[in-house]
Amino acid sequence: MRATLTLRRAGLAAGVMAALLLAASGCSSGGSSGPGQAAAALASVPLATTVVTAGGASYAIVDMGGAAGRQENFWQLFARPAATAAWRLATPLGVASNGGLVAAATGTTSAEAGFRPSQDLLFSPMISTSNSGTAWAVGNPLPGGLADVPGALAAGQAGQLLALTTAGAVLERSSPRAGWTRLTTLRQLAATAVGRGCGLTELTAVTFGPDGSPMLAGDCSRPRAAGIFGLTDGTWRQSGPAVSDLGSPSVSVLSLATAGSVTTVLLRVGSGPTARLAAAWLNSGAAWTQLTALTTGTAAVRSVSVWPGGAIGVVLSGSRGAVLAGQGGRWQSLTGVPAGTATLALGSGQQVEALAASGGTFRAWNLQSGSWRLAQTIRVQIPYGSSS
Amino acid sequence: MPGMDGGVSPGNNVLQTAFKAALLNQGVIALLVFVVLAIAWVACRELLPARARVQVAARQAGLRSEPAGRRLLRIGFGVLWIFDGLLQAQPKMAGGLPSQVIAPAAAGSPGWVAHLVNWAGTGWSYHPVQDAAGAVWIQLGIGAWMIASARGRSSRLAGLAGAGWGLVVWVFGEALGGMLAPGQSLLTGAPGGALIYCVAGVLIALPDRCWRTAALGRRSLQVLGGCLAVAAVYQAWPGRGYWQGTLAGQPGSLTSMVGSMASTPQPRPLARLVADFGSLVAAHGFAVNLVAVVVLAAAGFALLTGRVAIARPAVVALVVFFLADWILVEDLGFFGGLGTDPNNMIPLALLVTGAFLAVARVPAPEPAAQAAPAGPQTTVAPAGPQTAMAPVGPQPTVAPDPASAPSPPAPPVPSPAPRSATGPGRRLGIALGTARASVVIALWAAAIMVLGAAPLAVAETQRTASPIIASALNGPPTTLDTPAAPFSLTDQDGRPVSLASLRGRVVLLTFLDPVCTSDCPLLAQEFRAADQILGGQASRVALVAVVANPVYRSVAYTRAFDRQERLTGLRNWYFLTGSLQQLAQTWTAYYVTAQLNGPGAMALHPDLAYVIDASGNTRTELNLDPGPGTATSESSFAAELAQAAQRVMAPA
Repeated sequence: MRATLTLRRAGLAAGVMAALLLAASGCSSGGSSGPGQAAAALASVPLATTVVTAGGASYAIVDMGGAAGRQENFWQLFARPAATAAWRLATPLGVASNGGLVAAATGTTSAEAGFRPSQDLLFSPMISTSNSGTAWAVGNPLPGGLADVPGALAAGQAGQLLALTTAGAVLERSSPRAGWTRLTTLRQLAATAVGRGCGLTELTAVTFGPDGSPMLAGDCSRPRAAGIFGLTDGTWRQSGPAVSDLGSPSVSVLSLATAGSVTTVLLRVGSGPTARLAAAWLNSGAAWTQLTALTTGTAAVRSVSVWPGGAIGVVLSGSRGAVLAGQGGRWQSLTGVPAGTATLALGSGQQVEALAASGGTFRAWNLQSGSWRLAQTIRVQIPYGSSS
Repeated sequence: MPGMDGGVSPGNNVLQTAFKAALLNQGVIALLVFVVLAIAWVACRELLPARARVQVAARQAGLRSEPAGRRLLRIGFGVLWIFDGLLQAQPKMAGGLPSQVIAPAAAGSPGWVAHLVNWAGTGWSYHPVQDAAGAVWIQLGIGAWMIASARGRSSRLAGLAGAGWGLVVWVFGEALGGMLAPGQSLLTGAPGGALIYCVAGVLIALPDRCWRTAALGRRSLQVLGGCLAVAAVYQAWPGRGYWQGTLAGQPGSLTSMVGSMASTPQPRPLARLVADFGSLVAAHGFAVNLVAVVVLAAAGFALLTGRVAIARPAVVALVVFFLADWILVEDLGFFGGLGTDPNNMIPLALLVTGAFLAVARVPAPEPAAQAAPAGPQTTVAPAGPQTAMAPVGPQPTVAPDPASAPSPPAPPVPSPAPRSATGPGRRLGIALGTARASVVIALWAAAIMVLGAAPLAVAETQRTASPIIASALNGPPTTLDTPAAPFSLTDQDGRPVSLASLRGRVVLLTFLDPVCTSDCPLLAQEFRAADQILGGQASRVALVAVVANPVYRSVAYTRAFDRQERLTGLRNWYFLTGSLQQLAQTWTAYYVTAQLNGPGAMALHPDLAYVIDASGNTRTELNLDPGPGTATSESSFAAELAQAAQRVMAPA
């Protein structure tokens, strides 16, 4: 009897222990669970792009080297003076470029470039050139760091600069030697009537309009018009093309840039198989004129470049691309774009160029009679291991 | 796991040398303590009167024998603790324990367990030498104390010490034995050897009366039986990989474990044996696991009965099974240079056997009228003229011959002499003189524990890592004694600063690139931390950095860097720049090169620092390459900087 009782108690104890252990191990995770992922950022355009000055000098930004996750990628800047055919490496020395490069044309041949922060560097060193990258002059650093979009830097005709930071602040610099002052922030703009009205969620580009006033692009959750905002008499107003004109409530701004006296915006309209690119232009004192002609479907946009006269070059996934020759022009689809093409450029005689990068090799391809011809190869000494 | 990797490899010479030196120094102290205790004991014994010695002998003869089960646990685990202490003295322990032993133990455990383990591992990585040496002496002390003290309060305290330290090791070093991580099995180490040490310690610490009946042993057997039954269920649970020797071409759980143990550096015959067993498991995994499940389940349920006749064969089978697993699966548990103990099978075997003996060999009860009093005894000094020492007050108890039958009662003792007749020193001498050798050894063992625990505890209160890590990574500081080269530059506020203007303060001088993305922010934080370590002495130190980038060198960039690194509030921080010519002269004077690298690369410059005393002489050069840039290495470099400054600081 006593042995039976003992056995019963022992069995009960064993059963309870088993249940506890099973529950505990069931609660165990495969490791410490980290914090939840931040909400994925809305689709944005990669940094690779080309910028053309009013005088025809070109600057191209491409990512070269190895994996970004191991700090083995190094963004490079190539420059081509006006009326020349050959590109040359012009990356400013003295700072790591793992985080990216952003550039803006500031004059006939000049440009301003900023290095995006990486690793433990939290601000953006700024540098400018007046001779197509032959020599550079250091400018005041941008506090907070440039945002990860090609439209994060814009220059006005009077030498002023606008910059969009990673924290969503818009900073302004009135002259090359001046310091940076805050114009507005994402939070401030989102709190205004226009911001609330469109449900502003993110700022994606900055530029100066044809009248020299600041313009911002952003993503809206309730767009009645494309998310473009202009500052007039101290008040922000939404000034993009109306959604009703675009034929779809789904609108995102891929690029907003001013070259010469024309402000160009490239919009992605619609989604899925019917998604298309729509370009629109703003001239001084006029309303937006637009052309919707390029159906891209589900292809991803790899690069957007805006050139003087409202010309646009777009690289799409699937070895595709497209070029718009200028305001009011027609889209020219490009197929068979060379492998590794990072961005497009316009050569002499409005010849389309594909700029490709693979490891430490930069290649420029010309489109001639419907086929691509290798025009130039530059081998870049990538400083692998210098950032780790 | 953050914090636990100090960045130093386990085989680092500097760390190993420092560890050995610490053990040697502490070993000399331990030896000295032993010699002093021994001399004192012998001297006190020699001065005892003959009558007192007779009384002591008679008292000792009247003490009860220690129960067999308790004796097995006490001596068995005492030996294990000593063995573990010796294992802890392996050269790689100081640098390798957190990252190579503790971190893997916590892999797969829930976040709160990993957090606990990380806290302890980080503490160890901050003070590797003190912690590693402390663990050696604590474990040696526990083992010697357990073996030496057979009964009484001292023995119970030894058990408590073992239970306490076992619990510490089980929680912080074994991540609760991996019980909450998926895939664990009794065969591979769960629930953790340290837990079994802890349980044994608790049993040893129980009062003597608990061991005088079979109840304790029976309960212990039943609990063990329940645990074994649960282990059998775990072992049999499908989907955990133990039933398959190979699964889709990959080794099953047990095969994988055996395979990894076979590849550990060890004597070749043993490696071959384990590898052969691994092949057997790979080919017949189902059969091997079936045997394990059946043995564990059958033995478990046999122990649950608590009956000697049923438990005896189960205990024998279990001991054989445990030994086989210890050799063939756990590969003795301590090879590879970082083994801390022989794993769980030997302690389990001892625990099971001890519990069985506690049931099977209960000490016969003594007749009530003749029962000798247990525990501390009191004797008295005879009245009248006294010799130099007479025993008064409580006397330590001693263990009688374990094989003896219950002893005859102790002879009657005279009444105690008045306490006021002897001072505390004399009483101590008498107590020492009447103590057995085992008591003296127990005292010495306790002293060894303190020898290990005290530096460890002090080290854990230090919030900064030991500078030994910095020396291990980059070598020790270089001693110099040359006049420091002058410089005259501009600080981050646009003010002129020269070396002469800093005369009267110790200068910590380094070279930083304001747009650097990796090393320089780390160095800046180390300077900031050094300032905090200096505390009140910081006002006598100037923290000076000179720009080390020929392009990005304007005041706007030194200010931006200061904001980024939260140095703007530091009053004794100077980030100096100047014209390219001024900077180049300073770089040359201090043997620094700051040159541009390839397109897209940072500027190149060395990571070093100089310590300049208040008179303007360079006294020390430190290599500050942050290496892995771990929290431990950062803290250690900061401590090294602060110490270097304090060494050249004149007394206030």
